[in-house]
Amino acid sequence: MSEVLRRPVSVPHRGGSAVAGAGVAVRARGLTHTYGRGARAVPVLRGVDLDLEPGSHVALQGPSGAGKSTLLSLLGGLEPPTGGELRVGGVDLPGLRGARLAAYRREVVGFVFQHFGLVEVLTARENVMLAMSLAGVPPGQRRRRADEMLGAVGLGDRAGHRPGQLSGGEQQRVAIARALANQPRLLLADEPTGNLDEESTDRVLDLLHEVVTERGCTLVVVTHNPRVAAWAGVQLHLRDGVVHG
Amino acid sequence: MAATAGAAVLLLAACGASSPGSLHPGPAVGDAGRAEVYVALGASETVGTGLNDEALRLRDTWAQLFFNEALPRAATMYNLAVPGITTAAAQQSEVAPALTLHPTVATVFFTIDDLVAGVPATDYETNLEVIVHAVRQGGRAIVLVGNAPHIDQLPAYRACLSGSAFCPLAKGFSVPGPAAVNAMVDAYNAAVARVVAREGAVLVDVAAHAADIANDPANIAPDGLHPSPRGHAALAALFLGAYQAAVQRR
Amino acid sequence: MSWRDGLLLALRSVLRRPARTALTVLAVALGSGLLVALAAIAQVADTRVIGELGKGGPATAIKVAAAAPDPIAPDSDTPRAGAPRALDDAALRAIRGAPSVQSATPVLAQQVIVVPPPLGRSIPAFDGTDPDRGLVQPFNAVAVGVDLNAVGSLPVTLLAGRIPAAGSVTEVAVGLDYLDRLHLDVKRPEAVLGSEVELGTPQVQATGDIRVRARWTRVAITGVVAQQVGEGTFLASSQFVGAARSWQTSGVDGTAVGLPLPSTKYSGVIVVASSLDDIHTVRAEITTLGYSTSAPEHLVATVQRYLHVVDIVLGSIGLIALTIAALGIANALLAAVRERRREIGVLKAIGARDRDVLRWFLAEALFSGVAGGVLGTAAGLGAVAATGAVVNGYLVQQGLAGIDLGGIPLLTALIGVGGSALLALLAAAWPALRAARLPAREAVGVL
Repeated sequence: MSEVLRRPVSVPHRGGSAVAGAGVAVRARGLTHTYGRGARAVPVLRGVDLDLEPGSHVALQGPSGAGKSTLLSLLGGLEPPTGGELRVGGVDLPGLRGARLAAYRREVVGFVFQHFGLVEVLTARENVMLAMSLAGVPPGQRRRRADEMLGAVGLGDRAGHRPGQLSGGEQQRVAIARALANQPRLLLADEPTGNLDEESTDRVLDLLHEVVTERGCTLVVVTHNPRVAAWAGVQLHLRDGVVHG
Repeated sequence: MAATAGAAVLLLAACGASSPGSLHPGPAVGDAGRAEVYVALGASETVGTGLNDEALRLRDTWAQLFFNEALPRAATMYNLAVPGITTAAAQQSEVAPALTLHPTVATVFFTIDDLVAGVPATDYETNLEVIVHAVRQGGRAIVLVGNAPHIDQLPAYRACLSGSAFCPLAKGFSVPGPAAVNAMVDAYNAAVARVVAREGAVLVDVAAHAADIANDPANIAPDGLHPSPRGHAALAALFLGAYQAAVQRR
Repeated sequence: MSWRDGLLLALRSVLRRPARTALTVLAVALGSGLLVALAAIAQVADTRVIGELGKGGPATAIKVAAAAPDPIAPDSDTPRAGAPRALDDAALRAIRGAPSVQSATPVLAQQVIVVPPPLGRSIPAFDGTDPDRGLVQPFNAVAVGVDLNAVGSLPVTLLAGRIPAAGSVTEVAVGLDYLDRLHLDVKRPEAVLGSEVELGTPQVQATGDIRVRARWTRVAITGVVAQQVGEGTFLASSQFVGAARSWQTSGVDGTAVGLPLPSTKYSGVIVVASSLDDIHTVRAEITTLGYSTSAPEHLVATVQRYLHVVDIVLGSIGLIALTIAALGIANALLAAVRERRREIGVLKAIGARDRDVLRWFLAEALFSGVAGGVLGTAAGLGAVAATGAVVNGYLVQQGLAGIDLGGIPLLTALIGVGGSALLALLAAAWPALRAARLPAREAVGVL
């Protein structure tokens, strides 16, 4: 059993070291997901089978509406799947609801969004600290660790800026720092460079590659960028709700 | 609605309560002074006879004027004067009640009524001395004693002398001539002077100012005998002057 | 997320939309301000009206007359008094001993001759034609004497100046009728303050000729009052009236002729009941003792009923205003939730629980509530103070006592602010719950 399922829910402490624990294995069997019910039911995933080794780097591709974001949100515990089996690092996700699902998101997953998803009214540092605060990191440690994280993504000097004062690439790097704040074992990135120019894209992708390699966490990134294909060990194509290896 | 009322009551309870208080700083009320007790002993002049109007009698009588001018607000005046009284009768009806009041200021003004009653100057002197001695209370009170002006110019006297109907005296009562009357007044005034000297009282020399008091028609009331308001004012001024001089001497 | 983080996030969020925040805060301020002002005004109106019924004294005051009770309706507010009945010290003791009697203050009354100023040589000279010289005629009046230390528990309203010093025999207060007598403007009672008046008490000697001797005193007028202690132009210390009274009675030899002599030691007693509810019992008790009483008992009860209705109406108006403000808060928060769906989703995606989001929005509402509450309460109290000043000016101009609003009522302020905060939380409950229950997938915008 994962620590996630123990009560009280707490953050795993790994000595504050920058060296992350190993990534998680992901296993899905007949994973389905449907939005709506009855006549209005829209099936998005129609039976996804997936086996990811711990620490593997996956590039997820597919046409618009194929269910890439849905798969990502199921993996990230944003919602429970409507059918099938999904285990992440031994955690049986379909069985989790509410606070336990939130604890899974806090403790296992790091999420990077296409739209960055930073809280506009908070500074870069505060955004990172907010994630720590949610995970229950003692207040005394948050600032130092947030600055460490921002330093790691090359934004040590921008910690006091708000998202509006940062470029798109910088915002996404802050988002990556936030995603890494609680040492996730599964990093999920939903088209992280979709809103970035070419130069920023390269930088963000390089950073992503660097941190997951260094920390050994499992990465699933939705992207069409050929560079990712170059270093991702696994290429997955999602079409009509089904994975094509 | 009950909840509404409850909330309103809750808020009401918090508000400051109204309390009676001074709206304005109190007026500048001067020092009330010493609580002098003033008794006015005398006859009709001191009561205000002749001032037939109530407003005049209450405001313009010389004793009122003297009280209001000479004495502080804390003072109390008792006007014990009785019209037509003689020094002999006054010992019972004026001096006795005066002594119960323990006066600190007294005015003694008995003149014409003893004269009209034909009291000899020697008896007048004896009676006056009894009064002054008693009222002075061994020095407790300042006692002002007024003497009498010559009355030969008074319209009432002249009416009686000429047998006119204006004479206030009973018919068939014959008055002595002016010279005799003046001599009697002089004898009375000599008695007053001796009593004042013996008793340590203060003389209010009305006789010396007779020209201002009794000989000026404007100072005489329509009855031809008593002072008019102007006459009372002149009398009051004499008593006031004498009192102030006496206070200064003290 | 701790409350501290929630508050920080909320504060920043609130500041992000300054116009909307300002409007929300203003709405709350308006609501709480209105409620505080109405509550304060209602309260002042209550005390003022009840106080007016008590004629400046406690509304629980009962007047005991030196007369037997009206046999027909002894408990009417203003009964016809029965036959005269002397009020002496024994009666006073009996009244004081009755249950629920808080205080019993005896009242002396004495007829006096009043010589208004000018006095002394400042009197205009008499030219022989008009003896009055345009001066105010001396007149007869009554001086009412009480223990001036107890004036707070007597139906006395100070209109100008101050109450005479307790025990003073050289100071009095006058009623407005004194100004009438002197042909002065009753709206400017200050005019007589500090002036002197001469008061005389006649003593009748009945032996032989009727002789009247007067005792004269001069007193300074320190205040102008409206009083229901007794029917009299002058309100003075019991010492002053007692001295005049003892002079008047001491000279009488038992064969009184001329002036009617007082047959009772006290002309009345002012009894203060422990509470409004006790008035009836106390009056019944005094009726049993054999004295006629009057008190605005039924009037107070009726007026209290009306005032209660007024309280409810004013309170309702205030609450309606606050409710509208609450709706404003709810509306603003709903808008915030709508525009922050993705932000909420992201927060949940990075691990926020429902209650974390709930805290964020409740904290945001709390800011509007507290800020609006502080602003509104301050404005409300300010409005009350301003209204009070205007009303005071009017009351004093009308020859009535002003109202005292007291200092800043701390509890009202706390309730105004706390109430607004609570209301904001209540109003925010639904929008905040909605925000808390938004699914985490809002973060990725799936469908």
